[in-house]
Amino acid sequence: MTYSTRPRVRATLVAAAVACCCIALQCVRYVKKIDPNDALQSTDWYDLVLERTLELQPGEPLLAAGPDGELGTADDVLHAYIAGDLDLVVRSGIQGFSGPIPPPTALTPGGAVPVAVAEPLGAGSTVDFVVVASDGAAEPAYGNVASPAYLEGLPLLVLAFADLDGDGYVGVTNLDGDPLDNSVEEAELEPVGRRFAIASAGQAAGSLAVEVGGPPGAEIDVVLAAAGWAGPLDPGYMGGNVPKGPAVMTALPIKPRTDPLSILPGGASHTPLPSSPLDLVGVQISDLFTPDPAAIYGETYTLELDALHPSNDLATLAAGGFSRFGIATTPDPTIFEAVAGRSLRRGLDAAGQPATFVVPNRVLVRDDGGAGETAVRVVPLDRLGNVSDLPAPALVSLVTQGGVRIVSPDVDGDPYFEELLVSDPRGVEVLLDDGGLTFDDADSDRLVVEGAGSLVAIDLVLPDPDVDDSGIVDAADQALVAAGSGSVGEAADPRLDLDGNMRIDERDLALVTAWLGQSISVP
Amino acid sequence: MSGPRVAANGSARKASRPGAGFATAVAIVTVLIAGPAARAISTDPVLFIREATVASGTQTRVLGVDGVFPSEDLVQSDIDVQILLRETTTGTGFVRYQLSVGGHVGSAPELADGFGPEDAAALVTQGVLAPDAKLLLLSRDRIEVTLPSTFPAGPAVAVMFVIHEGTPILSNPVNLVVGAAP
Repeated sequence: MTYSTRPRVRATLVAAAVACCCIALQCVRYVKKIDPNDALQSTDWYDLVLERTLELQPGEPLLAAGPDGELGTADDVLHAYIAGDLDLVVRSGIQGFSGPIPPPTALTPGGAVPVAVAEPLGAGSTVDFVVVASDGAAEPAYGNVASPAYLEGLPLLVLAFADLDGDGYVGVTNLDGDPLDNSVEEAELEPVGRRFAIASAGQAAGSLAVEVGGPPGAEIDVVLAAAGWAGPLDPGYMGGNVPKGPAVMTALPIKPRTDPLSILPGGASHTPLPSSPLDLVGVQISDLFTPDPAAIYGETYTLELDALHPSNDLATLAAGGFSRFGIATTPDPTIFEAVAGRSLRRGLDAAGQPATFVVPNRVLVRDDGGAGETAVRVVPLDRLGNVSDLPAPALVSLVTQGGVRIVSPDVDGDPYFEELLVSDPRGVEVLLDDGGLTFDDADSDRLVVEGAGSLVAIDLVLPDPDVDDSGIVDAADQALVAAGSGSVGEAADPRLDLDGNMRIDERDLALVTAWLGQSISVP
Repeated sequence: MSGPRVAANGSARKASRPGAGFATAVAIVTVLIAGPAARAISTDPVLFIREATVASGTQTRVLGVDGVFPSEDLVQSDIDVQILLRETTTGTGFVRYQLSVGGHVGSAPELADGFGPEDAAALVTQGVLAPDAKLLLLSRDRIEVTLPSTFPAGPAVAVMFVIHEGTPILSNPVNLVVGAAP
């Protein structure tokens, strides 16, 4: 059935409501639907004011915008008595089943969590999966397979979210006992694998390639999730070729944005051409807000690996084969930003224990006259930039171009060259430092890492608060940083990025302001 | 075929956290649907080169290309995004990287006046596979490949391209200077 603006349909809905949440008077706004012809959406919550089905993850309470009209802000209102039911279930390690929806592979007696290997261009090993539409019934476990006619042939999206910090949770959480690492955990909100599968008889099966993995001993756990756009086709909506929704989904570590008109071109009146299938499929990766475990909804968007949500399943990801050497650094949660160019990966520390690293293209070396050293690890990487195993020990040479010194190790006495023997995924720690006095070095240098027939040039940046090199820190420097505010990733001018987190923001401005009026030598 | 749509590339379009000032832009889900022939890839590829550089060492040279390309799709499948590095001294010498296969080196007279969409179909059949030209890195925003030892030093231009449903799609060209082979 289509929930249009027709009053007759609305009246039917009200009559069919089985739960009329009268906890408060305004609760009559939300009712539960019953539609014997649509097992997938039956018992989903419906908004009588907006005349649409609520798009809720299983167990997710209804979060409504407060007076500011914006979700994810302090005045949000939580309707805890309204929660989503089970609509989609994803299982890993299989591409189909008969009978009841099976439990997660990890919980199946004798079952093993599938392992995939990260390689680009479809060369890796993949995770088999099946997505199942469920009616959300309490019995049997995971509900019954739902196969409304409109679902036949529709694509469902499978996503993999990685536990990149190894705390046993996917998402921004304080359940790990560390409320200070939320900035690092934001990197887990970006899927590390995605694939469409076409629904048939309530199931959609396929295999998922992934872009992250860890070396032996530091493999990465991922949670598989799924989402899709359900509902019948409406001839008046995008030519009758795109369902009007609602979005249905498993538990996710985020609150997804679900507006089809922002993805496919042309608006609701546009008629995509079935003869051009790419006109009908789109993917946009965006969220409504970044989950905050201290907010009113708490840990709603946290996925726990050891207490897996029934709608999800697990997989384990290993790195691909060795490709080249690179640099890994330990993320500083006080300034970390999950941006492109600062990929978060798993590796091994010097003691061989699993650890979280950034694999950067750019490294900050403080121009502080040698007061503080910058520690990096030279590690083997696969073709996707994951810390990888190493087939055999290899000599690696490090060269800077004369600004930044290689402080340790220093076997040859040359501060700008060193040769290392890298034996395994732990790599070798290297300490870098500037020389001379505070803020007297050039703003940039390069570290060339070469070995095993490959090389990489890492940008070393040594910004100072005199960003315009006028010789004095003044209002013009503040203005330059303010003008660059908001730029992120490679687009962030390293001269303005004083804290080196690849985002120009108020912290960089504060660092300039702290030196206001100081004379600085211009290199 | 319609023009490039940024929404087709998740990495190119992320939402800011509402009301959070400089907060991190995070990624997520959402999909759309439909049609009997829906495919497991994005819509039209978006190709853009922000910077292309060659780093030289004592053993090899590496071409690094930073920009926007369908990186998620390149993990999932071997869609045929290629990188062309053309020397501009004569204009005809090239190395063309078919990422899953490696680099092909050759000389094509039709490139003397530049590389355009009309050249793409013929170019993908030309060149000889160079064993020392291979893919080193494919990340969300960067591709690195080793340069063949035979590629000449001097000015060059890098372009990404793909022949998508029979239609060539080219990135912007980026000029660079290639150092001498070690």
